Amino acid sequence: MLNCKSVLITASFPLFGSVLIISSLTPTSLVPILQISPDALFCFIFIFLIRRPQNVPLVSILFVSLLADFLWHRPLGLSTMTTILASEVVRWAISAKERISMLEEFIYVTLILVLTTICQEFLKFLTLIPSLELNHVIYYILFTLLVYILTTLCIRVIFIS
Amino acid sequence: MSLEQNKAWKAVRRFFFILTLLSLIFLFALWKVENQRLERFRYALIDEILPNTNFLLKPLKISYQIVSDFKSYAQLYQQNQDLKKELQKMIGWKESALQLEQKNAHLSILNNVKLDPTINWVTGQIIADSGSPFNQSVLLNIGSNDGVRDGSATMSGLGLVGRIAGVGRKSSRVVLITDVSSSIPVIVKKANQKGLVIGDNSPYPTLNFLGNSRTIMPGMRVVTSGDGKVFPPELLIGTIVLNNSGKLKVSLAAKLKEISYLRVLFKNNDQSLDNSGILILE
Repeated sequence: MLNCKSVLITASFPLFGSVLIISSLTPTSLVPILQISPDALFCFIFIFLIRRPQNVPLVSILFVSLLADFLWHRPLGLSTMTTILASEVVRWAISAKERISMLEEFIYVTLILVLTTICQEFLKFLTLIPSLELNHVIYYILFTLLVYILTTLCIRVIFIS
Repeated sequence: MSLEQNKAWKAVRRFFFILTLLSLIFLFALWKVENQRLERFRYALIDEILPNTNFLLKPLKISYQIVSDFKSYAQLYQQNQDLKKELQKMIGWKESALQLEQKNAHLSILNNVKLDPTINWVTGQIIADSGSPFNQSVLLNIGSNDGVRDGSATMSGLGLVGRIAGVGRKSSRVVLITDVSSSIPVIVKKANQKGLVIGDNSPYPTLNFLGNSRTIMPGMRVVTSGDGKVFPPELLIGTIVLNNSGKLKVSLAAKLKEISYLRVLFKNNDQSLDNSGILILE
């Protein structure tokens, strides 16, 4: 029974990830809303990974990230590469401890988000892909972190209550 | 699981991780070098996935519509007042337009003017957004089967919206004017100054590379110049506005917030671009 539950959770990661990727393609308004757009996929991957690392295999993260690269017209492989690397760092960090506190989680995620974004922007700069202005990058990081923290708090409140 | 099995499993995992990383580096390099082939593959994938997942997008689109309708109802009184004022102005404009139309027809006959009949268009529905705030692009439900070609201009009813950058069989991607990779050669009417409208991921793209920016005033109309032979000349883009720091920006004529359909323009004897997305990279 436990095994069946585990399989279901493992399968739900790529499924919900795909739904998230496709649903964010909904054509709503064409007006740029850069300042208030967090990376929901980043939050989804790392919230899931930190809570249930055994149910988020490398293949699932690879699948979800590559699908996002293809459907969101991102440079192919670039953000998948950084996400895979970051996910392995997180896996290694949480395997070393029995349980991580919320503060530790936020510190890890902040560091990872900042480093992956810098890495991506640097590689874009090197390969002559149009990259973002600094203030846009800062907004992106701040809003993604805000959404991450709010979602994490909501999850905690729901599960505790 | 025994210790040896555990060790073997870890080694296999590590090997798979390194293999994945190397494959991704290879994929990125390949995308950068052989962009065209991978972009074609991307469009084939989108052609397969998006039309079949439309049922996922529809409820979200309807919910968004409900929310925006609700917002619109809340501002009903103000909108009504604005529309009344606008209508008064429009009646005046209509009269002027009718007179000008008659005058134009008369002069055209007198001068034996032959208008360019080669511009054609096909209208498509927006089926998907870019999904990322860093790419200002949309996906249309028309592709090479409908005659869409790379580089074609796309218009709403009011003004230029963007250009085609990537065509699949049943879908095509429109890079919006607001995208950071978009730069369009334009001419500022009245001042007769040529320049470039450059997207910066904000609702108001920047007007740059002008010969003499001192002659430019807010409110002047900006149209395509036709330089570079990507866009036909005289397509309306918008009017000039100044931002807080005095920088020249363009307020787009196309109402990006309300667009659901786009018109793709192409000439019958159009010279299409060979490389998909080459405009972005260069």
